[in-house]
Amino acid sequence: MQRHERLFQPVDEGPARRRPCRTPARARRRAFTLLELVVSLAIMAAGLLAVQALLVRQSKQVSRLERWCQPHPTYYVVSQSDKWMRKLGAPASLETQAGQTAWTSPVVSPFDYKVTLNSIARSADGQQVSVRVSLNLK
Amino acid sequence: MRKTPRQRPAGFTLLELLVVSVLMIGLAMMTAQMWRHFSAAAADIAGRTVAAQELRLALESLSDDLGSVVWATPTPTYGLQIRRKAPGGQGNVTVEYSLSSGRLVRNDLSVGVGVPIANNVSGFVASDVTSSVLQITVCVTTKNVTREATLFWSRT
Repeated sequence: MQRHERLFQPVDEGPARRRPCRTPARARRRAFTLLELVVSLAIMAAGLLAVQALLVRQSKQVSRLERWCQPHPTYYVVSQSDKWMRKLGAPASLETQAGQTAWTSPVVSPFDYKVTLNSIARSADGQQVSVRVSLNLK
Repeated sequence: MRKTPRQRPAGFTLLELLVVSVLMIGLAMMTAQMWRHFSAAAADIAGRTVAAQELRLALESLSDDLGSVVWATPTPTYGLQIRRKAPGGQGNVTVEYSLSSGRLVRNDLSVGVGVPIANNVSGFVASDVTSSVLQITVCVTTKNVTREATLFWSRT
């Protein structure tokens, strides 16, 4: 009987084997705080916004480039017909449609001038031409 | 002395580490794929820009010479010879365009100096379409991007 009682005697597991009770301090240590979550969400949102802005800018740039660069454009070169434009070395106009004429001088003078070309200076990029001429009535 | 659970050093469990590792690997793979996409697109844009720029340089030089052209004719080597008025208005000069080792070279025959106009030029062909129409084709290839422009010039 004594042996039987000893067998069914509740065993004291001691403090190490006992299930530890969760204190509020331990629960706070294991979980994230609201501030941490908000900060991490803000950082992730900023990163996503940056990636989205990059994507939008890149797609706009690609579409603009595609519009600008036709794969196989065809140009019709129209040489200058005005003799002064030819003397000045004006470039030919590149038209996208056939049958267009180059620039001609709209000035129709009732007087007859003698035009003397004094000097020509072209800018480095070729976009501007400076000409000094002198006009004398014939 | 026995350690209580409160005194055990705080650390991550194996499950937490596995989850974090999987998430980080997933994020790294997504970032790598996105980076590859962006770098390919950037290289594509750079190639297109360079091709368009070289093509524009070639067309500007050609239109500059064809503006005050006296006559223009293709050469036997698919180049182009242009007789144009001299820039100062005194007399005429002859320039020749030819393709040389991937460069479009403008050679002023009166001076005898060849100047490369555009790089990465993979094709330059001038040919007579009819007796009065000249066709010039310029092809630029950079980084798997090919741009081609065709010019038609009428002698009349």
